Amino acid sequence: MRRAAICRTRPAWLAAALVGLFLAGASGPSSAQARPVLVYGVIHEITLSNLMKMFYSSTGIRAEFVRMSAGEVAARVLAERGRPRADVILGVARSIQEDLKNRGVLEKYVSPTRTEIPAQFRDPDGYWTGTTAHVQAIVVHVERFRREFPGVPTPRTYEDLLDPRYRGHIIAASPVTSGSAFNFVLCQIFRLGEERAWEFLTALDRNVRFYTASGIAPATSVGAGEFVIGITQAHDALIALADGRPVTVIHPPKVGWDVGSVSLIKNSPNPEGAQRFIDWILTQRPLELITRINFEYPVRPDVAPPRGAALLKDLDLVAYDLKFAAENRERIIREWARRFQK
Amino acid sequence: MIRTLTLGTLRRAGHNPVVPAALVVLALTLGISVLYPAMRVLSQPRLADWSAYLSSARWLRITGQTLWITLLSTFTATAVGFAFAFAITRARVPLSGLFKVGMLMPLVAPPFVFGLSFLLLFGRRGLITYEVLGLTTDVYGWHGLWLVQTLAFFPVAALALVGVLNAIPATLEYAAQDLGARPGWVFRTVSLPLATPGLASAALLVAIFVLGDFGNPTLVGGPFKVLATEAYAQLTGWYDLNMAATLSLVLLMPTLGVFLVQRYLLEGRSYTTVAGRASMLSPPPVASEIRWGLFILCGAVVLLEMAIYAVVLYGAFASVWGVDWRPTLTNFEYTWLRTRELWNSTRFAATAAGAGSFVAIVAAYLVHRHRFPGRGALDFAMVLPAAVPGTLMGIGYILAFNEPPLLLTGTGTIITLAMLVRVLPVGYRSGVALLHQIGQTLEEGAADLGAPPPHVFRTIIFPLLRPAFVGAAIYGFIRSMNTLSSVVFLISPGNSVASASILALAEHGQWSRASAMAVSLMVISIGGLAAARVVMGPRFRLFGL
Repeated sequence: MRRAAICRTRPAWLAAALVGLFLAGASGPSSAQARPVLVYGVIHEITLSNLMKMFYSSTGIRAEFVRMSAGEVAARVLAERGRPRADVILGVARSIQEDLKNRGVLEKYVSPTRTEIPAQFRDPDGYWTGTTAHVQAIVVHVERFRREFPGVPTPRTYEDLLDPRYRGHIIAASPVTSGSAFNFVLCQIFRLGEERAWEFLTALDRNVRFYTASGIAPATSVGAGEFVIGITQAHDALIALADGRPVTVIHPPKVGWDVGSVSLIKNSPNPEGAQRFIDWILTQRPLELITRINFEYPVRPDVAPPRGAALLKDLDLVAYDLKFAAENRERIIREWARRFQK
Repeated sequence: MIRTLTLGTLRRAGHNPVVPAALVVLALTLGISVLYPAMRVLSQPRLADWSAYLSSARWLRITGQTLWITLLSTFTATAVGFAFAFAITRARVPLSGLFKVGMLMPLVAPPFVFGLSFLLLFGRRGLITYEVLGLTTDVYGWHGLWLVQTLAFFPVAALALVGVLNAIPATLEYAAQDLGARPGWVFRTVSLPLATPGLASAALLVAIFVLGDFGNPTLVGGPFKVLATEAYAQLTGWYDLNMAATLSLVLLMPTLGVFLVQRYLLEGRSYTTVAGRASMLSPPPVASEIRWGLFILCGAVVLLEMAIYAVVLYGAFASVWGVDWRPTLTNFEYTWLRTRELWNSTRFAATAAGAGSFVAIVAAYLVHRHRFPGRGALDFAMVLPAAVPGTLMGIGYILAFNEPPLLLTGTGTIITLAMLVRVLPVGYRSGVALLHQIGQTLEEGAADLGAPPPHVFRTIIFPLLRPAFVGAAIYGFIRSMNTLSSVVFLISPGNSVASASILALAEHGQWSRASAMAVSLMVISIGGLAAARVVMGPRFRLFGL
């Protein structure tokens, strides 16, 4: 048979191709250079790759990143605690940093540039330092809102969301998987006190179609017009606004907020490089870049707020109790899951 | 299967050292890359976790939901897959070239983009459902998920079945016809029974994919939760490895069930069709109403797919996805920035696919043509990787390979290995399905004439299993290019892959850039197909197509 004759030569071909590929893999760029700074980042992929380029051009140190969700970063850092693979955690909310700090996987680092960041955005113990503020928001798809609810004013307060006509039109994220959604629940407790907060969330739950796993998903699906109203963080919704989507971003009174922050991983492979990175990221230019591309609110007074955003000092921010947040995180999530998880 | 012990089988089992050596290598490979990480994860749950699982009404309900959606999707995906395979190999429907492309397309789809485009077309404000048809539909839930899983996984079944149907010699069908059987009767009593091992294999594969799938339930499931997404939530939300492992163990049980049922059904029956000379006859014609029925069904599926891909393709060139559809090339500027990720994806996937399929075919031959202690265990280890949810596999790999002597985290090797392991079940199952159809007389003849097992493998088994090998290699390459859940925990700075970038971009609503990246990934996948064709020459046939 002809087939057999051809096949006799084929494995050789394949083997050669495979060996070639393997060699290409082994001698790839990853093993060649001096050790770069390795960053686990939560912020936007495009922002991260621009930051790494900027870091290299201003310090001559190479930095590389992996972009993950906050929960993935935390799970991964904990899984790797015996032998950490990365040096820096960038952009993770402070409540998660606190949790990681308490589990002993962070290294204290008091950067010299840290004092340029206002004290309310820093860990008093020196484990993490704020890079940006995350302000919560209600995002409304204006076109769909007008079509579905003619003559109704857009919601202004959190209580407006309880109107029964919005049933099934609201999308929110699950605090079980999303750090920002947990922060929303937490800030409702700060705003209303625990008992009334659960009453509010129960009433809200009746209007929520379902809870997404990702914290960003509500903003993107309202941006696409899939849902009319989303509970989100302002910077996620501002991206949709900047893309020209017909959305409006509302900060209700006593709005929730959080701090995106940078920290050093304990026993990291490149602590010197990591410290240089943290010193650098807290300066004006990189934080300006995060604000500009990622639409997060600046914590440095010398960085202008992103396009379309209000000034942080003009917002009615809820009083934030960091100690309560860190101590009650697990209890609050369990209680939320017990009540609302489908 | 009926096994006859001949002089040849005795000789090759007893005297050639290559077979035991190969078995040891295979067992070691599987032990390190599959069983050890699995053990690391599965030794996590304690008794308390089990009682927490059993006493939670929510988890029991979600387990039921998982089984329900898996049964539904497996049934429809296998049925549609069979329709496609039958239409192409037997019914000779018009435009079959288009259907072949339609079978391959969902495989080339990077994660999330397929689901996103589906929502854009059929969502609450979908282009088709809302703008064209004026419907207020809501796909979030089990019905939407059912549709998406069927569309996403029917090619898995179809590709497995094309090889099987091609291997059924038309002579048997002609013989039945000549003896007076009507076409429907021939189909029921000859074609279908001969395709049974293939159907069972295909259904098993589909079921395993649906059970472990994480992307589609996340996007389209809405409030309808499944175990794979819950295991992920336990891990990333609670950092609760124990509960995540418990849920994954629960997820393994139905797989184990399907696996045992399949073995029970197939063992002890003969499906041998290739004994000595293969038939060169083309299959008998099919009744025209069946042909046109298949044509309409497959046509509808392909149209649906084409709409989805049109959205992806056009989205890649659109200024702002969904808002400003004016064409632009700016989205590809970002892809250019991430060429390293694309290259990483390509080389990891190519290595994993080539090596994985080869291991799978060798394993199929060793396990199903030799007797040795631990055969059943090896058999199970070969299909196990497909059943473990990707996220958990990733965590298992971190636990297993983050300490010497197996220090692999932070390297490309660990990603390649994670991809390779996912290729094994596909290559193995299709290899075994083909082996079931190949009589042992050829090998026994060769062995009796003095050929040692490596020679038998090279000159008889490998050529006959080549469709399974090529199919698995190509499928594995494409699948590895697009794999996400199992590598998301393993990528490290400098060793990141393109699918992770797509997820990150899609998550941030950067759908145009995500599509541009996805299109680039698809171009490479298709380029891989073309390259294989050039290397292999005109005899190259993908999945027997």
